[in-house]
Amino acid sequence: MPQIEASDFEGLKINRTEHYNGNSLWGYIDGGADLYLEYGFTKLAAQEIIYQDRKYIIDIYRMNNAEAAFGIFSVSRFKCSGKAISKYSCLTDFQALFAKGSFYVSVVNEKGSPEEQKFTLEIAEKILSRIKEEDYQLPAPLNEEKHSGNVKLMCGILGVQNGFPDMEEYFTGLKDFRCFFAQHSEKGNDIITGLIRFASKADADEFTERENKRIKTLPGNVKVNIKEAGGTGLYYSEIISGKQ
Amino acid sequence: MITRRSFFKAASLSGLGLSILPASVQKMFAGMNTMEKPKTNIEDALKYPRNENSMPGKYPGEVVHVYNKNSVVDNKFDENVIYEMVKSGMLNLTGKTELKDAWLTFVSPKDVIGLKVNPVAGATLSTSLEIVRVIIKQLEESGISRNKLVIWDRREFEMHEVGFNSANFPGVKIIGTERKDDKGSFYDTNGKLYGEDMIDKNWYYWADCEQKYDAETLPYMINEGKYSYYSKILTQQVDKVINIPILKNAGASVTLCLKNLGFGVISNTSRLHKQLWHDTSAEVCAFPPVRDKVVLNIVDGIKGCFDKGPGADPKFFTNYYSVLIGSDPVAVDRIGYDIVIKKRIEENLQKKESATGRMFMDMAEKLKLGVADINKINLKKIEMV
Repeated sequence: MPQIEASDFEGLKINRTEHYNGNSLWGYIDGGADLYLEYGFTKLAAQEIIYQDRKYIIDIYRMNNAEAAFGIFSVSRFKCSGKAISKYSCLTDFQALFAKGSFYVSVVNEKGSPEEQKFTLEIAEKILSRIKEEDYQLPAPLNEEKHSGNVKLMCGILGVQNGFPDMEEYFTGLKDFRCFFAQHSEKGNDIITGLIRFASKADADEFTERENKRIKTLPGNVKVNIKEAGGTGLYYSEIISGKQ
Repeated sequence: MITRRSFFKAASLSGLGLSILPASVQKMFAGMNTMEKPKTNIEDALKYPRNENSMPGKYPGEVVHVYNKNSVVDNKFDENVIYEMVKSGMLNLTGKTELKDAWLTFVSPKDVIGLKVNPVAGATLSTSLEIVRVIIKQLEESGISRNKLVIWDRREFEMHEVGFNSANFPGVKIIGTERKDDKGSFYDTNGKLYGEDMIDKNWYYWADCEQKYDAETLPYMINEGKYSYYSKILTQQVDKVINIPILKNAGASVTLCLKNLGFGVISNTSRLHKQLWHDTSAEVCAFPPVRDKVVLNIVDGIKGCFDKGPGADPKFFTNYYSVLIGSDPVAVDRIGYDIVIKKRIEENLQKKESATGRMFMDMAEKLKLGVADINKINLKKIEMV
């Protein structure tokens, strides 16, 4: 597992480095482990470090694959600012997040001061340099530039609750599905684009049938299109014309 | 183990179970790849007769929301302001003119009173030390001795880490169901979990689901199997409970009064998150140890979060500048829910409120634990500043 070493920065002290796997994640994030397990979690290296009297928490998750790492990253980013340190990264005053290969990494500082932000970034970049895996590649059509930074991947109902809660009712009761959703604005319209993979053709058909019933209840400025993406997949688009 | 020493917890949410759907919704998915809802022993809870202390307590459907923007400034809590907020809330809830009379509506000097806190997300997003100090101060001013007070939660070491310790609360008992010794071990010299002595096998929540725990996880769960046992702190050590959760989201729902009790007073909880999140939050509270002892709920909404709760992710922290007070945990949760969901919609985390997020409150109402219907709740909002 890539992690921070005391020798990485002069004066750095590592208070703790702990490793978790499987269900032992419950000991670390009681009430929160299920989401990681739903995406597919393998290992966690959790570190607490002190640098110049400031405390930082580093969580390095190894997920089952790059898609899972991107997925958990995609529902965790929010109001990102600052520079991008990798294809999938998000910086805020308090945190640096990124997904690289099968790794999802979070570095958190305590007060969001400029000094803390700077060192948070340095830690993230140090860990990033130790990961040699390739970036996850989004499937079409979510890989288009207009969706950049907006795609969320959900691998189950907990992901939907976290990443796209307005869609929860459409997926409740289903399992073994994966869905990508992105929202963007274009010419005054709000557009949701989705790609959904179901466990079976029957589930996909049922979802479509149920959606078709819902569509009839929508106001005239909302258009929903669902079409096959091959196998058990569906393309989904919802266009809300003008301001609601 | 690092566990709760972290000042920030990895942020994610507990499983809002999909298995507790109303029958009409479940039917909608007939033939699909659905998960079945495990049975529970909730029928056992309903056999016990209620008493005058049973939820929803002395003020069903009544909630006081006190708001004061001076309660926290630059991330520093003002204890004097919070004192006035709690005082105002207590007087308005009870209609009393003297603060002492307001408190003695719920507790007496004879009672051993448990203060159920929630430090699970670490120091930055815990029930604040300030509000607990205020409550203790007002109880003392009402003639309650501090040696009759017990600050408690599941994990004793988490409480210590966030500052619930004898240095900050001299003379008050501080105890958790899950415990370690001075050497940091969960096990005594005979290899027995300290937590095993803290659970009461006479009181349990049974659910037809289970999960195997590895050696690292078991000390946090105490036992495996289909039984979750109530903590002896609740069943044997305290007479009354004042519930003091913190205003946090859990996905597009909330973790407030009912969740703080439902998942905070029993063992073996991990198995319940995914399929029975709503059920557990409501049904555990329907058993007498909770239903008949929790007499007052004071939500610490000075600072809370609007996403990635119940963990702590600082980019989702917010100052709500609020204290919610009521004897009815369901009504208080309903008001807190509206506050959190409003913030989530403002932040574009969701477009609209969904009935799914209120499911545990609706279930609790059906169990006669309180009022979930917003139209039947009498909310008094007091804006001090």
